[in-house]
Amino acid sequence: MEQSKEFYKNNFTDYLLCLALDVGEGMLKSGGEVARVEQTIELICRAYGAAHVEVFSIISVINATIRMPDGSYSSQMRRVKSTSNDLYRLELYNEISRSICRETPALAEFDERLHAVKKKRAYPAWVTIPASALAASSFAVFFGGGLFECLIAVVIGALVGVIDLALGNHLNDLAKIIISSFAAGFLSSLASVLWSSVNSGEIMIGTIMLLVPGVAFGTALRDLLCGDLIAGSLKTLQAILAALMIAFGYILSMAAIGAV
Amino acid sequence: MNDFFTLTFFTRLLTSLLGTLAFAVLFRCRARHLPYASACGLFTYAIYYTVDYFTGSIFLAAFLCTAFTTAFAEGCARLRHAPALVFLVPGTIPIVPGSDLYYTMRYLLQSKYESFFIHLQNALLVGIGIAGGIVSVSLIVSAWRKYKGLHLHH
Repeated sequence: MEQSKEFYKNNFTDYLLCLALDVGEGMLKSGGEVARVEQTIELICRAYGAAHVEVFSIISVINATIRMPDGSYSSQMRRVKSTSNDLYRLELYNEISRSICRETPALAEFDERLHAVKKKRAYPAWVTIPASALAASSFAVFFGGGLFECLIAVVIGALVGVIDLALGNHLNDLAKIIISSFAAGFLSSLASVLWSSVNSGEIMIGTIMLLVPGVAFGTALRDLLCGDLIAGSLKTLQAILAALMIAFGYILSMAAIGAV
Repeated sequence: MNDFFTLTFFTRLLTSLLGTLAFAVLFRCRARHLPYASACGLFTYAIYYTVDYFTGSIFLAAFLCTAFTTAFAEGCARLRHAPALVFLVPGTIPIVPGSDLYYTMRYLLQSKYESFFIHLQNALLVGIGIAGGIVSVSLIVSAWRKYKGLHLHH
């Protein structure tokens, strides 16, 4: 990547598109909408004087072509392999694109600012564990659980957080969902077998909230209805698959409990 | 009205606030936006509960409260100079039909088909309500943006 940038620095058009794609890729990776990605790349290129900008993005690929007034031409594609929700980074990329369009600094400075964003984090990675525990236990109580269910949901929620951190990018998202859903189903049923007063359902629901793609489904349908048909269908498919994988992990855990 | 302000309602208000806060952290929402994002979740649930109480329709409740959440998130976005997603994504969490999805799976496994269909129907109704709420307000906002010549990142 760094090497290719050295090469680009001799060619303004290529370098500009490369940087604009970096911003777009960053937004897509942090969970930004496809419309936002396309618009941002177009605005950045136009701010630097591009006469023609064509951008097409779906959730896993950005394709862009620009033509400058002097006739120089650049066309690049960027493959984006994983997306997640990182609202902090999304906001930073948004801020960067806003300031870049306003100030149009030299490309080298643009590059430096982008580089600084890549290193920034809103919170250390471990906050995932207490946050998952709080989320799972809150929703266990929200859906009718008592103190005991709440405490067990804290443990299982923390475990889901640990699974998420430990597997990180090593495993695909759907596999992570199956493992988390299986672990949650197994442990909550085990708890209700050990202590008969415990309602495994409420614990399980608390954990399901961590995995369920509810908001993703909503934004997927929005993309679909706002005209981003391909990105919208892919996101809808992703959400449906995630829901099916939760069911798969849960059913697997019920089968395991039945067999134990 | 006596059964409107129940203990369950207050418990749910509190837990929706805490749950949304936790999700906002999971989604890496910036610390200075956390109060707004959490409030968004609290309002979402309060409206959902109120509409459900008076009309008895979970679809209408999900639709209206998400429409409000989307508008609220757009407002926060303008005030706080951040993308609306920062508030919308955590804010809709409390009405995600996690419990209906759970009971759908559970009753399917127990072969209780009548309950299975009821919960599946509820999950779908709420899901479509959420999507409808987001879409309708988003379309209005984007039309307004086009009219004003504004871009997504302004």
